[in-house]
Amino acid sequence: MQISELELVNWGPYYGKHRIPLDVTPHAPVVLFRGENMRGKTSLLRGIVWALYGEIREQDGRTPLDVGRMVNTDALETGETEFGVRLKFVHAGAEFTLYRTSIATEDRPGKVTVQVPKLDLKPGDGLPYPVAQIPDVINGILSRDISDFFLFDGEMLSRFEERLREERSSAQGFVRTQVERALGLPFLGDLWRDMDAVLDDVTKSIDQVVRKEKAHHKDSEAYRAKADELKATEKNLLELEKRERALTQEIDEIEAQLAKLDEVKDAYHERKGLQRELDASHDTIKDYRQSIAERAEQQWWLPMADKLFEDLQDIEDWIVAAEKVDREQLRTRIKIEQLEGQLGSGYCSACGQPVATHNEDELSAEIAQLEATLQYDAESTSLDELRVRRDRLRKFSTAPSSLQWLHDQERDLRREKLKNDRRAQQILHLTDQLQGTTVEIDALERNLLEAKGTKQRLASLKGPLEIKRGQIKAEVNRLGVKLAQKPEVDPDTRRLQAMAEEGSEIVARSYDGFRSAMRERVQTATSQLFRTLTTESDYSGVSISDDYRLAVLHRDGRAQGMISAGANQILTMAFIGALGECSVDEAPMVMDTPFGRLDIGHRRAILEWVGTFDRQVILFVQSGEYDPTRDAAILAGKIGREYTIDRLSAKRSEVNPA
Amino acid sequence: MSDSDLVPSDRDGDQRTFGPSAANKEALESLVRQGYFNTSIRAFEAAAMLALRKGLDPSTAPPSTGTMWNRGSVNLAILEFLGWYMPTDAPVRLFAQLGNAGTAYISEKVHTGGYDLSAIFELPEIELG
Repeated sequence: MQISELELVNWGPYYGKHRIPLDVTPHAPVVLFRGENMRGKTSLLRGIVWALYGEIREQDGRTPLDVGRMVNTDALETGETEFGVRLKFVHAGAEFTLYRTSIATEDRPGKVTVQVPKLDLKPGDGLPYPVAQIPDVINGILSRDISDFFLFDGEMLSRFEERLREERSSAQGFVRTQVERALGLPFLGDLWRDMDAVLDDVTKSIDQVVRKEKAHHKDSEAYRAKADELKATEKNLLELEKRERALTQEIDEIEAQLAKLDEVKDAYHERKGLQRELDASHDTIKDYRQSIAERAEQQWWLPMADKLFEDLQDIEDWIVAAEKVDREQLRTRIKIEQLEGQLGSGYCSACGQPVATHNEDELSAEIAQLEATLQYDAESTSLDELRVRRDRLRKFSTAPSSLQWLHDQERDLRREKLKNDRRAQQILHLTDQLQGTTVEIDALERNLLEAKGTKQRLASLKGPLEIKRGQIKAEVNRLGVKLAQKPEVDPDTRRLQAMAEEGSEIVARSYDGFRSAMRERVQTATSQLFRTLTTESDYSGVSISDDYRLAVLHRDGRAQGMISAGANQILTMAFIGALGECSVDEAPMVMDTPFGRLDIGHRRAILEWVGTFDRQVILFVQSGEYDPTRDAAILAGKIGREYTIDRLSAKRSEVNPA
Repeated sequence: MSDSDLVPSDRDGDQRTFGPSAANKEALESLVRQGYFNTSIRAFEAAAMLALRKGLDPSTAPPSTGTMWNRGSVNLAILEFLGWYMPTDAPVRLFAQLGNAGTAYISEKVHTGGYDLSAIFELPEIELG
């Protein structure tokens, strides 16, 4: 399938009729639409989806979007009530024109009522299809079930990413469902169930015949008992599946509601985190205070720590001085003794010469002077007293480090308080932003967790029940075959029973074989694409295990337990690309702002990948994700058509060739 | 002679019981409420040490308005310390006066609130080395 033209009538911001040629060649298959946000890129994607399937969804991808919201408001105001989308496309060499249109009226400002749309599908050279057949024809060309592998936006990529990051069993279930969707396995499953129903009917007819013969009563009873048991098991299984579907729907709805609250959700989680930090910090502050209080009580002298330390230093200086004095005194005493000796003997004790009479007076004066010095020094505090005081003061020698510790603790405490003030301010600011939505988020997240838990429990019950059903079914079939051998059974009925039995077995075997083969095919395609897109040389590819666990492989062959957010985005892109590649022969790839959250390296890799396509690719990009001067070279001549979406007014845009 | 010998006995005429002034009592309780100390007597001890450091005249301390503690409530190490540091024969009396003088000195800051312990007690940082 290739879209050759899109025509919009009063659709979204496109007032009046807009015809946009989209046909491209395999050499230049890329159609590029460049436009800033709010110009109408998503309206173009929605136009294609609505024309094909008659329904559109909100950006969360789940919530149905009322088509009345896509009607151009300027048109309504000027009384132009018709709106619609015409899609021309080529499929399997034939040209088709699909036109979906309706009438909208504005009952009151903002309230638009839309009539049941008219649908028209016409092959290029034939008569229009009957309206009732059109959905089937479109589904045959590009099934609604798999259309989101081809027609997607950044939001859908985010949803896939989230699902792939979910806890193991949930992510595996998601991968399995996507692979089966891509392969059309639900159809094969339906066929299997139909064959079983035929077999069941035939065997029941045989049973009725056999029951007429009392001789075979025992076999018939056993058959009916097992058939009843099978019925009960299937009923339980159906009930489980019903509950599982209801839970899936509930989960989808909660997730859709949470997606709508996305903006405030971030604020909510940020506030919750800040509150946790604040609580933890209060404990830290309490610990700081307690530790300071304990230290202040143990070191009771802390308020005079500096004084005690000064006293200690002073007294040590005094002791040094006193010891010096002590030594001086000793020397003086020795000198006095020597002088007194000279005075008593009349001879100099040093040289032995007689001391002259006139020198005796000088000696006496010198002795008197020295004794006066001794007298003066004796008045100062004794060295022993100083030493006792010093020893007492030494208990406080840690004063400087104790004071330093106190100041350090107080500095840390102040810093922590400052951080808390900032946290409290942020919390207040976020609370204003949230305006009472937190209760809703809390309740939704709780319900989501509960629903997921219940779903997981149901899934664990389902496995053993399916095995049990398989065993009972085999037994029922064996008894059915036994009954069919009874002579009173009509040979044609017997043959029909054998044929239905064989058919059911073939479909069952095909189902498993097909699923296994296609899982491998999707794995190969995902792996190849992932290698093309990743900028990480340590990754060698992707594996999808028998139980549908999707994992990135390290080059040493080991599955990576954790991968970065960027790698998960690329894995998602590769998985979707592979599902598209494996599901149908050809369909256009329509991507709305897909690069928004990718880094430059990965964006470049995806553009290079797009450049390898020979099938149609329609890209809607904004300036933040695609810069013509930088990126056009990457697509290297692959751009077949390029448009800009230009804003005319708040309610009007138009598409122009670039 | 051990340090404990320096603490005079009751026979020496020292006080047996003491307490803070009415205004000081409130300040001490406030210090406990604000988490600086676990009990008022420990806060009173710190205030006494501050008074000593600041050289506050004990005789100017606001008088006690009643008995709140006895000498056993006080950290014995403080009474021993006052015995040799000042020195004094009546350490409990001196301690009570110093505590009241110190508490009065800090009470304004305590009532205002928002000060660190080091700011209340005007504790400097000492350069080590």
